[in-house]
Amino acid sequence: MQSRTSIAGTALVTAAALVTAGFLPTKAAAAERPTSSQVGTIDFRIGSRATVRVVGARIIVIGDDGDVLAQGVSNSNGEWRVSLPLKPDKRFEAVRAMDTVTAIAVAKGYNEAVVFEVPITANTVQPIILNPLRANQRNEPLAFLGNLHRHDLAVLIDAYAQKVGLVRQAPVPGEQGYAPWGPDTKKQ
Amino acid sequence: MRRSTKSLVRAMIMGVVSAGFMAYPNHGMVEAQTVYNTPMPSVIRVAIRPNNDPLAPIAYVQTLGFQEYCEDVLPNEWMPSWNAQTLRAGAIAIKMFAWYHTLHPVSTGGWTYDVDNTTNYQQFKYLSGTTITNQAVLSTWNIVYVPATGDVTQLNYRAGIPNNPNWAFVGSNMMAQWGSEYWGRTARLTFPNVLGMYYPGLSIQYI
Repeated sequence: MQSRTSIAGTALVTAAALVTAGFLPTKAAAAERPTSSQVGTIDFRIGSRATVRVVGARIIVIGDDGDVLAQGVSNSNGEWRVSLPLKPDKRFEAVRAMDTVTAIAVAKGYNEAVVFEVPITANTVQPIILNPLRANQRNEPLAFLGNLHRHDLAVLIDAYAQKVGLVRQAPVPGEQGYAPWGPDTKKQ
Repeated sequence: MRRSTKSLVRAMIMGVVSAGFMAYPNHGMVEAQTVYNTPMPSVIRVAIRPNNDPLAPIAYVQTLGFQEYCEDVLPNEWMPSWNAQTLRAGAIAIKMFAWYHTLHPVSTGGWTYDVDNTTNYQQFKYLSGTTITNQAVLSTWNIVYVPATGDVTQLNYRAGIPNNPNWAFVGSNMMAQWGSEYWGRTARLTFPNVLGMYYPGLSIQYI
């Protein structure tokens, strides 16, 4: 098993190399995005279901305006790290400063994957698990949802449920501490 | 002929019983699985359900190193931005929960596994470990939280209410994740004290 600490160190070195190699957002794409003093990072980790890391995968990052913001190739640890301007997405205002992008990953021997709503935070880790190509099968692209944290989702739902005045359902029998929101609204 | 065979079998059974070799189940005699007689697992089998959906059918079973599994659970169950002591309490809970389930595997639908990747057990995302949560796992790797008998016990937990002490969970044998953050960050408790809030009768042991 490889030490994650050493991987993190390698990732930092690799990130620095990628920055100098011009893998940061293109000037044109960055200029079109709303200006923000905040910068977030996404650490893409490309792997497969066979518990291996995929080296040489290309990741394309797309902004909400459709522009390619950045692209790069996973290193020997299957990682590619990118820094991007962070324009807080108002949907997540109640949660924390977070932006979202779309990522496409392609790699030799694997089928393509599209990951929607990849969060940009101060330090996002976004795994992408690819499927190996199989002979005589269709091997079509897969769609995934970005690595949104379960606590962030709960806070997001709480904020909007309270905003529209929803009422929680009865507590779930045998379960402690969480009652999901229901469709009813508070009586005026 | 058949009768004589039956008689012979009956006689053999009686002989075995009288000799005390009959294997009657006696659960009291089963040796408990403790941290003293059970090594920490080196690998774990994780049933992967698409999109971490607890009700989705199993797509495949992934076998990976036990430590790597814990590293890929902690940032999904606890927030990496949370207090360091909180993360250590979470790291120990995750490890004990998983250890218990490696001792109680499940076979269903043609699959055999220890845990799945959803909140049926613990949310696991392969390759999602972060530097800060990995440090919490590593710094507590030789620490277990067990009753005086040393039994490998699953430390259960739930999300709890955000930014709240979650008093309802205190002493309940169920840790509130948000509660652990409150007690770690606001009350500045250390991780043994955070664990002690939720799991009465258990204590830290070093292995």
